[in-house]
Amino acid sequence: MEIACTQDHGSMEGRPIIREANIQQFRKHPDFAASSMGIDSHFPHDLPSKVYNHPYESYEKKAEEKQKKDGTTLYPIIKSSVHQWAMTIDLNACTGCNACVVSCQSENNIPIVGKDQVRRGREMHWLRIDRYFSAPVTVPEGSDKGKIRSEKNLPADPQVSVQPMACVHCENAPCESVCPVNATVHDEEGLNLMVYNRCVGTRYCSNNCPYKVRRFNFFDYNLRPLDSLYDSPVMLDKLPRRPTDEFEIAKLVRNPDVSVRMRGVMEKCTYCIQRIEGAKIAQKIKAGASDAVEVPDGVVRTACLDACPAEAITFGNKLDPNSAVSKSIKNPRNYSVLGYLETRARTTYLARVRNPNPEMPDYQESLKSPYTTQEYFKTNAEDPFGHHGHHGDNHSDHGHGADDNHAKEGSH
Amino acid sequence: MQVPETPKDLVRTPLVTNERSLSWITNQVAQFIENKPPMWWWIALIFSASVAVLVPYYISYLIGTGVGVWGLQNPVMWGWAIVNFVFWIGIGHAGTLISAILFLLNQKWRTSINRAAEAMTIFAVMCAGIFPLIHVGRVWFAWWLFPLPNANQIWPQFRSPLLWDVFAVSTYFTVSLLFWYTGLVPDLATIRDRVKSGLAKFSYGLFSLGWTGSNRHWRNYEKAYLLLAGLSTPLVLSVHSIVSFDFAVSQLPGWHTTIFPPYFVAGAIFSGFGMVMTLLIPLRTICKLEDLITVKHVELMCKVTLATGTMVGYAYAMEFFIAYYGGNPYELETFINRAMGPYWWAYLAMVSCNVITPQFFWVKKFRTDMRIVFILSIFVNIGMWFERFVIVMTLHRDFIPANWDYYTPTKVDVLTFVGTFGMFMTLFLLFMKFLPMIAISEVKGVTPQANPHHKLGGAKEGKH
Repeated sequence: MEIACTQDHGSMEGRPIIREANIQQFRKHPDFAASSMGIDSHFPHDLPSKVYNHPYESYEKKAEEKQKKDGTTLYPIIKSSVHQWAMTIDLNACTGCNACVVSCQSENNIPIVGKDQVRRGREMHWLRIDRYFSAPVTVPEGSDKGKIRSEKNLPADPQVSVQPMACVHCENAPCESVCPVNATVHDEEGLNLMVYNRCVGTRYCSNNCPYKVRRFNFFDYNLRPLDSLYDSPVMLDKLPRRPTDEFEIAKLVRNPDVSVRMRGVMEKCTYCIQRIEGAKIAQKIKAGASDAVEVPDGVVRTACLDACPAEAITFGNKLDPNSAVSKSIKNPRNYSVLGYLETRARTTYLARVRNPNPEMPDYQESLKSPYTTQEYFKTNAEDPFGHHGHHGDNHSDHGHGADDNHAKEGSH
Repeated sequence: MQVPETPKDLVRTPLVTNERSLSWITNQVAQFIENKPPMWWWIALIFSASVAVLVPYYISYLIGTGVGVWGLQNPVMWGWAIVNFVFWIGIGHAGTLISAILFLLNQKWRTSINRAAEAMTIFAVMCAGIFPLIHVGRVWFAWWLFPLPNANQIWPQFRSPLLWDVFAVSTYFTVSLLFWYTGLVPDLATIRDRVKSGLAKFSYGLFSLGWTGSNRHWRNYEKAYLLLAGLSTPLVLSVHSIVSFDFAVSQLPGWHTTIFPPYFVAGAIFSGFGMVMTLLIPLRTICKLEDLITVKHVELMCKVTLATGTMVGYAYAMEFFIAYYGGNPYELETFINRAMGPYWWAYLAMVSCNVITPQFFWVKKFRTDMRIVFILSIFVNIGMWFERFVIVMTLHRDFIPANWDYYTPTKVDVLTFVGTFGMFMTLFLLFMKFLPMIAISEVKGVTPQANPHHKLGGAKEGKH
């Protein structure tokens, strides 16, 4: 029997997607997630900005130069100096309860596609919870526990790690440069927008998204009953549509502030743009003739954030140094998933810290490292907590010494 | 002191065997147009046309229902449609290569095969062009990919390789068609002068543009042909490079590689020659053109296939090596997954058909045995389809393991592709019936007796 499931693969394959440490390791290296895991931790800290110009920066430079030279510019400054939205998700707080997924679904008129479509891998969730199982890699040969590569044989006694994943609103978004019709673009407040009316559905954006958070309307999920998705209006005498009375009732479920997408259109997380715009308009009314148009911190609450019982999600204005999200970004546990791609995601994650219980039978085993970290260590032959593994600049006190040569360090 | 003996001149094998006369060539090529088509032609046409009906049938179902009728799913947003697009466009490469590049390189053997190969190119590009158009979610807005003025005042996005594709493929199709047509003009005039019925005379007359074969006509013709050959030559290389950018410009491990453009061009020529041989080997026997498309021609095509197939094999090896040497774990995992993951069978089919098959062509015995060449050429076609399948299926496992899935095509995917073969064969059969399959005037120019010093002399009536 096949079970409709949104995630087929259970192992993280030793990749630093969710980054975890034990409490002792965390105390020693509070910034372990960003400075010692992932390919980007091998970059010298000032390298990316030197090699690759940030698209905003090079653009602004041009605009400023032009402005200075002849007072006018064809490169208007596109970055807002009032709001720059960002989000952090604390993997330490997240329990994987899925409340955010449901909340997002109802807020954003996300179609419910049914078992059959989920089995075909066409779930529409803009926000999903990724779930990984991991096993200790140091178990003796021949034991089932060490099999991390097999999909069929899940480890007998796994650790589970969960991660909410939605569009991370890359500043340097791979989806935008490949859309042939300009249907996905950036706005001045750092949002990666999806223009439904412009989308023709080449799906190239989804292919180029490293996080695969874009969702495609394969059918008119809203217009048709789920059992007649495959009926063609060309080959039947009547249109395969919901009966009018049913459709009228179904319409009441919709959020009037969010458009309902038709088939052939890509969609994805918008950071609840309808709530952002609502808050901005309210603030403008309040501000009147004054220029106090900045939305105060905590006013914009995305649907996922609203629903999260653990308060794992923080959202707000990055430009305000006192906003909750700015403070959260400064947390040493903060890291970008796949940061080495230089996508400059606006949604970042706070690494998870485990505190193994000494009363548990596997205490000794789990004390070494969280299992996902052990897998990472095994796959990449580098120990994020080891003698040479730590690449942070401010950690010369534990054997790093003056040896900051990355070429040398890369050799182990 | 002994004077060394003067070495004998190496005599080139004639490109038209059996000392066939010029009029024989005309008669042999034109008879298929002039006579009533044989029974096998009717059977083949009816069969191909019935298969071709699958294309409009499934396209209307697709457009009426949604792209969900294909097997596409979350990580694999491009499936068979893109595989088939690249497959057909690759096949479309041999024609222009034979007619343009080999023309500029003065390869006279091209004359016997260029007409059919160019026809194949045009029909293959037509089959290819269907797929990117219908694979989009909202076909009725596909015209937004063209830089046309519109009420939204939005340009297409010039950074996107899909847009480059639109220009590359449409340019290639236009230039190939013009080139093919230009080459056809003198031969159409020949047919015009020979056909009896009024309608045929009018139609061939219309398309032969008043050709009389005067000196001035020939001068203009040859100049135009040379110019078009010059224009087509960069296109042969650019089209598949740009098709490869669809993959190479993205950041996906396994797609984001600089080796793609040359590797795609080599693969395209490889698959194109494979298809030319698949078509021409039966054709030369059935239409009794063995004296025009000789074993030497087939042998030379085998050599091109061997060279390009080996280049493709080198690219496979180099891709793997760079994935290992580059030190990016995501890249390496992708390649290991290609060979050993859930699609290992596709990888195996690709490597065995594309790398092992052409190696048989080192042996002269195999190159000159038409049955063996025919079978091997079919393996080349299969292998090159699998190459594109393997490349597109790279999508099924990328960065984040939670997204990994397994793609399976549906009936609609498979039958639309089968339908394009019907369409391709229908068009080719119609071409056989209505147009001269071999460039009559060009072949005459490379016969031994075209040389005024030949014993049969110049354009005089042959003795045969």
